[in-house]
Amino acid sequence: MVVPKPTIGEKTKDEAALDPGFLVIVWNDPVNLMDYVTHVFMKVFGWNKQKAETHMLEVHQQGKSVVAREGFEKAEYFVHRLQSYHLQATMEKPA
Amino acid sequence: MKLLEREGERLVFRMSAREKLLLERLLSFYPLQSEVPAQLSKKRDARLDEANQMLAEAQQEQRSELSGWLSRRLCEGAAFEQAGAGWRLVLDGADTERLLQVLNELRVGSWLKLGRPENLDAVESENASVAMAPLHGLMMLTGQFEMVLVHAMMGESEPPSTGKS
Repeated sequence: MVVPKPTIGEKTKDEAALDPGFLVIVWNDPVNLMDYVTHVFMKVFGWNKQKAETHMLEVHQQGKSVVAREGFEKAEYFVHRLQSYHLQATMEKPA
Repeated sequence: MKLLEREGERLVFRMSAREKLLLERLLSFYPLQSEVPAQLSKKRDARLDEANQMLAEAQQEQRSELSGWLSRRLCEGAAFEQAGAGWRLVLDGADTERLLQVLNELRVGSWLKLGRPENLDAVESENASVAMAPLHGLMMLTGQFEMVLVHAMMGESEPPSTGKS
C-alpha cells in the first residue's frame, strides 16, 4: 500500500494580516514650525529626537510623511492627537 | 522670556512685566478658529461621516478644556509669581503642553484667517494690507513664544531657528 504524500498548501492569512489598515499621513504646511513638529512627533509617538526630525524633514521636503500604519481605531486616535496640536494629519487607505 | 530652571518636566521662566502683558494679550484671543471642519481623510467618504463628527466634537471639547485651563492657570495668574520687577512663570509638563497647543492654535488660526498664504515672507512685505498686520503680528509672536517653550522642553535654552515645516 502506498500512502500518498500530503499536499501542503499555502498558509491562509488571518483577517488582520489581509487588512492593509490605514496610513497616518502628516502633510506639509508653511505655518507649523519645524522644531514644534519635531516635538509633537516625540510626544505623540514617543520617538527619539532623531527619528522625529527625520519624519519632520520628510514632511518639509517631500510634502508629507507616513508616520504610522494602523487599524482604523489606532489610526483615528493618532489623527485626533496630531490634529489636537494643529498639524495637518489624515488617515488614508493605501493605494 | 528666559528659562531659569528645568527640573524634570517642571519649567520656570523669567519674564519682564511687558512680556507677561504681551503673553496675556495674545492668549486673550484664544480660540481663534472655532469652526474649522474636522476631517479624518482627504478623500470624501460617507463611511467616515460619523468619525468626522466625533473628531469635531473632540476638538470642541479640547477647546473648552483649554479655555478653562487658560482662565484658571494663566489669566487669573496662578502660574505667575512676582519676582522683583518681573515675573516667574511656573509650568509643569501638562501645563507646558497645553500652553503650546493654545499658542499654536493662535498661530495656525491667524494663518487661516490670513487666507493660508503659502509664502509667509510675502505677508511680511511692505505690500501687506494694514488689515493683515494684527493677524500677522499674532502669528509671529505666538511662534516666538512657542519656540521658547519647545527648546526649554528639549533642554535647549535658546531657540536656534524659526524654520517652518
